[in-house]
Amino acid sequence: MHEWALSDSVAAAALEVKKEQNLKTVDEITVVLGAVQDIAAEAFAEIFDEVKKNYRGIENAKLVIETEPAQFACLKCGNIFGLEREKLDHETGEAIHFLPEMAKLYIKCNKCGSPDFKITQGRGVYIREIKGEN
Amino acid sequence: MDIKLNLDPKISAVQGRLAGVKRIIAVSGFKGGVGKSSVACVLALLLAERGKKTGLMDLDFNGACDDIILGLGARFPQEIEGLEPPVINGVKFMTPAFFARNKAVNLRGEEITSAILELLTVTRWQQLDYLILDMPPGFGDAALDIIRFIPQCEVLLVRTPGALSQNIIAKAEAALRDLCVKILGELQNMARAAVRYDDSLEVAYGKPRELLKTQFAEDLEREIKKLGL
Repeated sequence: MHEWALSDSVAAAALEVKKEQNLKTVDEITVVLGAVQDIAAEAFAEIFDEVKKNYRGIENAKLVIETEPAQFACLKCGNIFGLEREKLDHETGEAIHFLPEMAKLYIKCNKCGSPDFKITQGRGVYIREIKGEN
Repeated sequence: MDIKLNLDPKISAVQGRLAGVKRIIAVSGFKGGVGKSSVACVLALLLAERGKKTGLMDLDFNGACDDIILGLGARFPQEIEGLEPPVINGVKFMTPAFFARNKAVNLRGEEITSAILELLTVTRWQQLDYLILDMPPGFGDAALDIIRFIPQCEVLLVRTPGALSQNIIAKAEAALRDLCVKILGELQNMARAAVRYDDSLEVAYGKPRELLKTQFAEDLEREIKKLGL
C-alpha cells in the first residue's frame, strides 16, 4: 500500500525531531490526516505500528491520529468551499489520493466554476505534535 | 516535553527512498524547446540498453511529456509499500501523467513542489545505477526545491546552438555553481555536430525501440560517452 511510504516518512521525521531536540524517548506522535488525500486512519495506524519497529528510538511511540476536513479557497472569486467526494469517480478519487494537488485538475469552485483555487486545509499527512522525554 | 509542530514528514523520507540509487542525473534545459525531455528519455533508454538499472522521473509537471515520448499506454504503478514504477523497455518510469490523465496541470510553484515531494516520498526505485530526472525548465520553485531535496544530483545542461541558449546556459551554470550543484556537462542538441537535428525522432515518439534506432540516439550515445556516462 502507498500508505506504507507515508507512514514511513512520519517515522523518519519523528526520529529526526528526536535527534534535533535531544529527546531520550519519543512517547507520542500526533499526526493529522487531511480529507483531500483520504487516508484511512485505521490502516495508517496499523501500518505505522509495523513501520516504527524499523526506527530505533521511536519504536515505543504511540500514534495519535487527528483528521482535518478539506477546505479550498477560490483565487478568482474568494469563495471558500469543501470537497464533495461523492461527486468524484473512482479513478479521480485515486489520482487525488496519490497526489492531492491533482484535485485542482478535477474540481472547480462551486460558486464561479474556476479551477484556480488553493487547498487551504486538509491536504495530506503532517505531524502536529511530538511528546517525549529529554 | 511537548513539541508543537506543523511538520511535513515527507522531506525526511526522500533521501531514504533514494538510498539505493548510485547516480542521479538531472537533465535541465533552462530554456524551452531545447529538447530536454527527448534527451532525458533517450538517455534513460540508452543506459537501460547497456544493462544498467535505470529509472526516469518526469518532474516537469506543467509540461510533462515523457509518457508520450516513451509510449506509456495503460501502464500504472503498482502499490507495494509505496508506488512501484512500471517498466518501459528496461526503464522504471514515474510521471505525474499517471494522475493527471491527459489534463493540463494547472498547479502553481508551491503546489508543484508539494506534489514533487509526494512523488519522491512514495516512489520505490529500489536499486538503480542511474535515475534520470527530467527537470522543470528554468529556476523556479520546483527546480530549486529538487536541488534542495536531492543535492547529490548531477546536472546535465541541454542547449541548442546560438547566442540565446548559450547566454541562458552560461547564467544557469553560474547559478548552479553558487548552489554547489555538480555539473555533469553540457550537451548541444539540434546542432551541426554533437547531437544533430533529427526529423525521424518525431515519428519514433511513443516507440522506445524505434527511438533507439534514430540518429538522435546514435549521436546522444557518442556525446554521453564524452561526459563519462
